[in-house]
Amino acid sequence: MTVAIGRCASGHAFAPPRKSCGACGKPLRKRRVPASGVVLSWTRVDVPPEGFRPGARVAVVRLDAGPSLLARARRAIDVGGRVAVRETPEGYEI
Amino acid sequence: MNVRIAGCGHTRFGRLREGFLDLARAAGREALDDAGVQAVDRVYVSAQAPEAFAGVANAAVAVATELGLAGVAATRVETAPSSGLSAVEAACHAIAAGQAQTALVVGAEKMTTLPTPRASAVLAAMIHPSERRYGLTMPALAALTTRAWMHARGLSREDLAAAPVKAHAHGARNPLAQFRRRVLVEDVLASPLVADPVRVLDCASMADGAAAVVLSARRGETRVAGLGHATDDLSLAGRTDPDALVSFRATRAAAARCARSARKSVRDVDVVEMHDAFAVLEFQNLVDLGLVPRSRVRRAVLSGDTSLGGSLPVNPGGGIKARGHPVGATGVAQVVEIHRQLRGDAGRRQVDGARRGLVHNIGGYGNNVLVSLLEAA
Repeated sequence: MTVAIGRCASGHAFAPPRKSCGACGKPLRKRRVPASGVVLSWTRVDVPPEGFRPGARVAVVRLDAGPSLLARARRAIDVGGRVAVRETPEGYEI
Repeated sequence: MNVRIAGCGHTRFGRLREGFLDLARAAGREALDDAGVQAVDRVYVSAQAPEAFAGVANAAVAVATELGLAGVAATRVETAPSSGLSAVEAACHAIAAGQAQTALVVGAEKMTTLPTPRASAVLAAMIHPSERRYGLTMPALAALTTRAWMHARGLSREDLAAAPVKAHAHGARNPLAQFRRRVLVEDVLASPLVADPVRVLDCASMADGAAAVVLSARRGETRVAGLGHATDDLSLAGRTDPDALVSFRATRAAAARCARSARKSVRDVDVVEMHDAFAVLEFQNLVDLGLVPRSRVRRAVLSGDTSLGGSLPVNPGGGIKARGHPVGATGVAQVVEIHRQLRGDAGRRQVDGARRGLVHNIGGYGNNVLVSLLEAA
C-alpha cells in the first residue's frame, strides 16, 4: 500500500501533497511512498466544532518515508505503534 | 526601538453584557485618559473574527468613530490570537518610521454570543484545511502536543494540572479576570475531557473583553525595548521541525529576533506574560523562550518558581487561562499587564521591583508568534 506525498528539491515533504513547499517555496513533486508509519500522538475530540460528531480519534503519524500527517483512527491506538495509512475521500485513515 | 507606552486601558474579561464596540470604546477611552491625550496620529484595532463573532466589519474605523477619532488613519490587524501584539508591533513600526508621534492600539473580541460549537468552528477556521477536515479544534491540536509532552518529555497528567492551578490562583488577585476562583489539581483532573488528554480546566474559555495602550515617541513610563515576530507552517503535521509536537519553532525564532532588536537577552527579566491558552504551553513556552532548560521545567513550575513570589513570576494577572482570552484583546492585555507591573501599579499581584518584562503571544496553534521586551523607562 502507498500514499501520495509532495517533496521539494530541498527534501521538504508534505502529506497531503500541496502546490508548493511551505518552507522554501519550491515546487513539490508528487510521488507515492509506502503507507507505513509510526504514531507520534493522538487525541479523541469529545467537544467537536459545529458539523462534527464527538468521539473522533485523530492521530499524528510519521510516515517511514518522511513527512507527518494527520489521520482518522478507527480504533484505539498507542504512541509508538506501527500503522498503515489509507487514503479515503474523507482524508487519511488508520 | 524608541517607543514608549504612555497609557493603558482594560475592561473586565468574561461573559459580559457589552457589545464589541462598547468594549473597544471603554478600553480605548481609558487608555487615552490614562495617557492624558485627546487625539492620536494613528489607530490600530486588533480583532480576530469580529465579523463572525459580533457582526462587525470595518472594525478599525468603527472603533475610531466610537472614540471620536474619525479622520485619523485607522487599520485593523489580524494574526489570529496574536493579533494584539501584532497591532502593537504595527504601531511601534509606524512610530519608529516617523509616520506617527502617537498611536492608540485597541484589542477587542466579543465571543460569548455564539454557542460554543459554533464559536469553536469560527476559531477552527484558523487551522489548515487538510487538518480542519478531521474535526479538530484548538484544544484538539493542544491535545496532540500535550500527549507528546507526556510521552517524550515525561510530564504526568498531575504535573500538567499545576499550570491552571497557578493561573487561577493569580487570577483570584486580578479584579478584571474572568476566573477569580482558585481550583485544585483534583478539580482539573475531574473536569470533563475536551480532547483527550486535555480537560476543560486546562483550556482558556470563550470570553468578551478589550484592552488598549497609547504608544508615544516621546513619553511614557515604560519602553518597548525589543520586538520579534516569526511564523511557521499553518499545519501542525507539515512543520519541518522534527520537534514540532513539543516545541514551537516560531516562538524560538521570535524570541531570538526580539533579543536581536533589543540588543540584550530576553532571559534577564523580572516578570513574564506568556500565552498559556492550554496547560502544556506553560511548560513548553518556558523552554522555547529560553527561560528554563528543558531538564528543569517540570520542577520550575511545580516548585512555584513561576508563581507570584517565585524567582520568575509568570502571568501574574492570571494569564490567558484565568484572566480570559477574548482572542483579539489578548496580546494588548498582556502588554497592559506588564506595563502595570513595570510602573508598580498591579495591586495585589504586583511583582516587587519589576523593571523588565517579557510578553509572548501565540497566533494559530504556534504558527504566528510575537515576543516583546518591555522596560521601565
